[in-house]
Amino acid sequence: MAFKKISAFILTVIMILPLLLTSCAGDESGNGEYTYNTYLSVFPDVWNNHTYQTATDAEILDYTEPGFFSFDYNETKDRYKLVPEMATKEPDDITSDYIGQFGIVEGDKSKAWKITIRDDIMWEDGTPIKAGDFVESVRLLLDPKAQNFRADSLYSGSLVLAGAKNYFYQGGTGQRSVDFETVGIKALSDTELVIILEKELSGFYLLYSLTGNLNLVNTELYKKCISTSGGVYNNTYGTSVDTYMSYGPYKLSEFQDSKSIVLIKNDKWYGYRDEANRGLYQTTRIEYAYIADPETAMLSFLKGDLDVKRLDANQIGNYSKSEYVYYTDGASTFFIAVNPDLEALKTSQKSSGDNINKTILTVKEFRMALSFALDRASFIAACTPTGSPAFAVYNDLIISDPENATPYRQTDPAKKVLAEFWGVADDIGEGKLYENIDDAIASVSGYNLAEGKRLFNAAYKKALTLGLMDEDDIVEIKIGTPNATSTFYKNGYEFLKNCYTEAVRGTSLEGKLKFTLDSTLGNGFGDALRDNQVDMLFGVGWSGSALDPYSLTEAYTKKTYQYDPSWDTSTETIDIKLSDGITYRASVWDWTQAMSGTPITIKPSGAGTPREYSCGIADENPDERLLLLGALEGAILSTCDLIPLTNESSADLKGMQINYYTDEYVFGIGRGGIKYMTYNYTDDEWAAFVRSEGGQLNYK
Amino acid sequence: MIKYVIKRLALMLLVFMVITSVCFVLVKLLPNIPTQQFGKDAAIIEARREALGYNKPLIEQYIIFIRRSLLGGDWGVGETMERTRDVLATFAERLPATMVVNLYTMIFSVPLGLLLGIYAALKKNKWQDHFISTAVVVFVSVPSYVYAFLIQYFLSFKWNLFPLQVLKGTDYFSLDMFVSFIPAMIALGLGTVAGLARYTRAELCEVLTSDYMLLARTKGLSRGQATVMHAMRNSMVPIFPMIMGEFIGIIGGSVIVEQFFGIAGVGPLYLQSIIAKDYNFFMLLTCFYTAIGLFSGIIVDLSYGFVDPRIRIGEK
Repeated sequence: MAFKKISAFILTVIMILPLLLTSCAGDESGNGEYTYNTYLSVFPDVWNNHTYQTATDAEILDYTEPGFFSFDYNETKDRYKLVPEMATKEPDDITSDYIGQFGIVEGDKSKAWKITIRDDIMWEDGTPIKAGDFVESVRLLLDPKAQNFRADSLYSGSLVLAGAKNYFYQGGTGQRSVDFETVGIKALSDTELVIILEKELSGFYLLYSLTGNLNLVNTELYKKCISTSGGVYNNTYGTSVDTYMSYGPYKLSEFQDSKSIVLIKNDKWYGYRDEANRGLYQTTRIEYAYIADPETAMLSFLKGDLDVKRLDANQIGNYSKSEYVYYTDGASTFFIAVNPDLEALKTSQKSSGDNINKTILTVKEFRMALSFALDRASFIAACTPTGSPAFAVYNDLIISDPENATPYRQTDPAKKVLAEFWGVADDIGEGKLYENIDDAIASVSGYNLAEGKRLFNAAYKKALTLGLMDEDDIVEIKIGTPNATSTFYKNGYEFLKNCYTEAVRGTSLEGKLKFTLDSTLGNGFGDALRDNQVDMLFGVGWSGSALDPYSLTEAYTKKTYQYDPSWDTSTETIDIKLSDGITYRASVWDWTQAMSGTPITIKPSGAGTPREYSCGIADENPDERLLLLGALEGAILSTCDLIPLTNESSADLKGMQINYYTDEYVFGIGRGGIKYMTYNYTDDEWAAFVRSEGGQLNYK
Repeated sequence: MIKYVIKRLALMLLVFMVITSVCFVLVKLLPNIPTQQFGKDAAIIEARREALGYNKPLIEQYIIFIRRSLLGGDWGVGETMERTRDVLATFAERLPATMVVNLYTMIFSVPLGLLLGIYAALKKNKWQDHFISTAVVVFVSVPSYVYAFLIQYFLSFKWNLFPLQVLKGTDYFSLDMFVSFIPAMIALGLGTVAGLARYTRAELCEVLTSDYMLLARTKGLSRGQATVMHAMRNSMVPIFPMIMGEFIGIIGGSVIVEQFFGIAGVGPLYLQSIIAKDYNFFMLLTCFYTAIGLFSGIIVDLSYGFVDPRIRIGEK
């Protein structure tokens, strides 16, 4: 009897204890606080702006490290403008002061700029920030011992500091030590900073480059974070609350690895004393939770724990008509990337077993067939319902003339590339299929199954002729994805497998095309193709530089950035007819360099004398620059190594607690961001509201 | 006994060295993350690799590892995950969350499993036994992530009884934190409860039909007294090591459950370290879990002797 009683008692306690304790549940913070609750599906490692690597790593920096200039709404709130942030005014061109130094010669302009910074910038502990701090930060960034990942931000791209690369690479084999004085950054006074550039930079692009902050760090704290063990340098700056200092509107308050990040207002930020910001920055606290599972994030959002939720393909159907859903188009294009490197494919083919073929991927017709047989509209419906099909390298949101906000795709060179690549250029004109080029482009769907089948047959025949495959071979394409959980990648793999398996029906490749999946690539996803781990990736591309497609072209033509580095852009040449009426020949890489202002040698494709040429920002020949951009886009597309798949877009649910400033998304400022965000409830009111709704909110 | 323990410890050291050496060689034989990485200066990556000694012969790297990490205690920093963070400190920082949730789970799941097993055995072939046995089969068969999702959906979302995620912070023994751990505890504990209940029932059913149980009853002991004092003690011989194993498992994390309920524990670290090819994290975790696994083997073996004094380990 006693045993029964004890058992019953223990069982009862175990069963009811959780229920009794739930009355104590809940974590309601903040009287009069306005907390912006959001989440991350990947957690940042390190936000040291000398070493961070991913956009997630940089998430914190958006709130803690302003630039010299920043994006803001224009007067009519429908476009961006660049306004001084840490700078007090636009930079002054003082190139003439440096003639004879840093390679500057008489007549040069836009190479040395004086940036006047505010005199009230300070770290979160109240220590003033002076121009000398920027100089010291650059010295630390370029310290050869540190081998900082972000060092190249000062020697590649548009803004190239004179001598930066030399300083960074000093001490290598056959290299002498270099004095930091040779690096083009000087502090003239506490508020006057001078940057001396190797390439001319001016106007919009100068200010755009200065939306950064020259990688400013708190040098005192930074140096304390340096350690060397066994000759290996390490720096823990920006890995915890104690190893980081903010100088922006918010400062880090809590950081729990793989769990949460909390930022609170930084009362030392100059902006709060600025009349222009009166009534802005209502958010008092920003909380990030780490939630890897999208369904858990959705439940959190519906419980009022989050103020925003990105919708995936499985969730969009339920909320597509919601008044809380916001659709945002992005400037990125996502591609299918295939590996056409013969030697690499031979290696993986050998290790895949007998009668497995991969080298057919080197046949261009095969890659073209993959493009034509791809029903992009159906792919989007299955994987990313908010997206739109992509047909080119650059989409409608890429701006080729930022001063006038002219979209690149609306320019003649861009239209010509599209029409030629999709084979409709010859059908334009009177009495032909399309009246004008716009009609022709509008007809492009990217899906032509009959052409795809023809190309599959042609590719098979060619592969046999070239001895790349035997008749009894099975083509096995290994597709790589970063994980097995993302709806986009799960659905995408299934879609591609089924789409191409169906597409080869009735062709010589019927029953001979097989797909396998490697869903374990994780952070190494982007490099997997180059590493020959997989034969195909999808959903890959580059983001950023929406206002500078000329620099962005490097992402497709520079070896370091190419998904397919086997395309040797330094030897592949293209001919471009320039404004002088002569057609010139140069390598793809040289043309790319010319667009960023680096002088190259071009020679007429026929007889003629080679000449030096560049068409960067400072060369003031925007039409020719555009011509080059179009020609290079055509060259990239024609390799068929990168098959345009979808344009970037997303759908987010906005919580009832917050309001955006504008419904329209404006490049650079979004819908107002944290600066303009307003709240309908304080945190306490919000908790009460959620309770009154039964703990679950209806956003449908 | 002491001789036996010393012998086992020596063997443990030998096995530990073999396992960790094999793991070291195998992970180094995997293709390294390429030097040519997107948007990264290959020279920087190469220089870092050189400094880390990754270009040295494998045997030299191994000697460095033994000297610097195993003997010197310097496990390095994260290179491809948790970058720049001290590997040992990161592991130590995340271990408490895993230990606490597993400890809480043990506290409720072990007694519950035993009680259900005992109850089922006492009600053998009655509806209560059938009910418990069916539930046990369900919980043993269904993967933990399935009921993790159901627990989260119903308990935390639909019925609003608990937070969806474990609270942030490290105040693991506060009431609020405990409450937030409950869904994860249930998800982690159901398998243990089911396993223990099944095992206890099976063992107890066998013991309850033994002759000495009949003798105990005829001597005048009540059914409860006979069960607790005689049947339980004997059936505990195989069950106790199982419970010991569960306790040792406290430091092992669960990838899925920890991720699902937002527990900043060590569960996902091992898998991540393999995917990310972070040698420092991988070797620390390999050494740690190998040592714990081997040590627990000794503890479990020794525990037999405490449960049943008739068992004399190492004696001929």
